[in-house]
Amino acid sequence: MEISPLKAVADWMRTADLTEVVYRKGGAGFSLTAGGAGDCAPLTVPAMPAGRFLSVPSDGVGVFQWSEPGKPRKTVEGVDVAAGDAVGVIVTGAGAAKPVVSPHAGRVAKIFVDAGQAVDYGQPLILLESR
Amino acid sequence: MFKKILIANRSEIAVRVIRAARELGVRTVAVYSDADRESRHVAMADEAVCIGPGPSKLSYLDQEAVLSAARNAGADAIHPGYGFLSENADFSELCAERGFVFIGPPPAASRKLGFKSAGKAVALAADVPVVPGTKGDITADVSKEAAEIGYPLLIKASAGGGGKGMRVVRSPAELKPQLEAAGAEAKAAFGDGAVFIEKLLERPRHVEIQIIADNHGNAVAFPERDCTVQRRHQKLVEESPSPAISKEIRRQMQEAAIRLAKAANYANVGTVEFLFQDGKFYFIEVNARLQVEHPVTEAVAGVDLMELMIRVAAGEKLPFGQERASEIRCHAIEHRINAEDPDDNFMPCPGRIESIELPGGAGVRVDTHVYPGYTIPSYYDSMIAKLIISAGDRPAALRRSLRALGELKISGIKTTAGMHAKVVAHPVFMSGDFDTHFIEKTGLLDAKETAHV
Repeated sequence: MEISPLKAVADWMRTADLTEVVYRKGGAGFSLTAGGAGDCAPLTVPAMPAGRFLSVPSDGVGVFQWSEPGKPRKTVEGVDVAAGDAVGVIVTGAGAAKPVVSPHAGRVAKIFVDAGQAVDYGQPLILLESR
Repeated sequence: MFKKILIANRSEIAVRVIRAARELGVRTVAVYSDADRESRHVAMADEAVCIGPGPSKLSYLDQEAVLSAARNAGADAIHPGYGFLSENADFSELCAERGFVFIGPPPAASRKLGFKSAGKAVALAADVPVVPGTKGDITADVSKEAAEIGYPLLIKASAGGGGKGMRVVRSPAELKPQLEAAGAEAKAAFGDGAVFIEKLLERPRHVEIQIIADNHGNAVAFPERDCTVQRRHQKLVEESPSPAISKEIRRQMQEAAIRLAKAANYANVGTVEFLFQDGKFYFIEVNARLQVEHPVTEAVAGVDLMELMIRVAAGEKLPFGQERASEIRCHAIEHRINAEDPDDNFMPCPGRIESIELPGGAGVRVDTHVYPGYTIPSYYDSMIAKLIISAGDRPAALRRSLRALGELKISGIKTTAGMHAKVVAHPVFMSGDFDTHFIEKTGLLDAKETAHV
C-alpha cells in the first residue's frame, strides 16, 4: 500500500474532527487515529453522550443465560442495577456458569442479547443509563 | 474431511492454516484477543471469535475460552498451530472429550516424546543414540553421576524450550548453584521446575528430521533441516539440506526418527531434533507440533505439510512412501524476520508498521500476518514474517536470500532483516562449516563491530 494517500485521509480527519478511521478490504487495510505521535494528548472517543450510557460487556466466550438454571431472570429493561450485580451468566464449553458482573450502576436501557445466544469476549450485552 | 476448523493461534501460522483449509474447501474460525483485532488472520478467516484480553494466559492459552468458541462456531476440528496450546497433551485430550478432532499428535504420543527426559527413555529403547546424561529429572545429589558423564555439562528444563532454564556447568563447584538457578528459571517459565543434565557438546550442529505419520501405521521422514545458526538457543536461520550431512548419515537419521515414531505410536507431524558433531548424531528432543521452520521442508521435498497434517488428522492415509519423502528437489533457507532492535541487544520493539514492501520473484515465499499500518502488539512473539528462499543449490540459494532480503523494506519499526543479510554474506556461513556458536564466534551481532561494517 502506498502511504501518501493516507496523508490526505489524515488531513481530512483533522478538518472533520474525526478521531479514528478504520478501513479494511480483503487482508489489507489501515487504521488512523488522530492525535498520535505524541504531538498532543490522546483524544477520548465521544461514542455516547458523556457518561450517560454505559455498556456491560461479556467477559468470556460461551452461551448467555439470564440466570443460573432454576433461578429467575432479574435483568429486564427499566430495572436498576448496582455496580457488582450479576446481570446474567455465561455458560462455557465445560458447562460452568460464570456470572456477568456489571461494572457500573444504572437503569437497564437496552438489552442486546437473548438467552441461549452465543457470545464473544467483549461483546456488549446490555446498556445501562446512569442517573 | 472436516467441515470447519477452529485455529487456536494467531499471527502467520494462523494465516498458514487458513490458506491450507481454504484449498481443502474447509471453513475456518479464527480466535483472537482484544489486542489482535487488526491481525490479518481475523480478516482472512470465514468467522472470527474474540476470546479474551491481550495477555495470552487470558486468551490464547485459555482452554475453556478456545473450546467454548469452537462449540459456539460449530467447528469439528481444532488446529493449535505452534506455541500456545500446541504441545499441551491435556488440551488435546480435552478436545477429544468435547468432540473436536485435535489436529496434531495423539496425547499419549506427545506425552511419551514431548517432554525431553521422557523422550530420551523412548529413544534409548528404540536404539536411537542420545547425548549421555542423567536418566531423568534430578531429585537427589547428582555430583557422582555428573563426574561420570564428564564436564562440561548442560542443565536443561524438562518442560522447557527456547533456551529457558538452560545452564552450562564447567566445574563441580558450579553444579549446585547452577542447578538451583535453572530450576527456579524453569519454574517461572513453565510452572515446572524439573531439570536434567546432559553432556555438553562443544561444537555441535543442530539438525532435525521432520516426520509425518498417519493413523494407519505409515510414517515417513523428510530430509534434514539444519538449524545451527542460533542466538541464545533461538533459531535464526534454517536450511535444508544441511551442508554437513552425508547421504548415509541422512538415511540413518531418517531411520532413527521413524523408529522413534513407531516406538511411541506417534501420529501426525513431529520433528525429531538431533545434535551432530564429529560424524555422530545424538537425539535431543521431539517437537510434537508443526514447527516455525516447516516451510523449509515444504520447499525441499515439494510437499504441503499443513495440508498433509489436516488430511492425516481427518483419517486419510499418507499419499506417498519413504522414497518420495526422501527426494531433495532444491536447497531452501528460512529467515525469521522479528520486530527487534539490532542496536539494542535485539530487544523486541513492537510498534506500528508504517509501510512494508515484501520481496517476490522466483523461489521467494513470504509467510506473514502483517501489512502497512498494522500495529504489532506487545503481548506476543516478535516474529512478523518468514522468508523462505529456494534455489537449485546452496550458493544459488544464498545469492537469492541476499537479493530477497534487500527487497524487503519496512519502515516504522526495527527488524532483524539486516542481521540475516550479514549471516548469509559471512564467509564462514558460506563455507557451510560452522556450529551452534557461529554467532558468538564470528562476533557478527556485536554492536561495536557491526557499526563499522
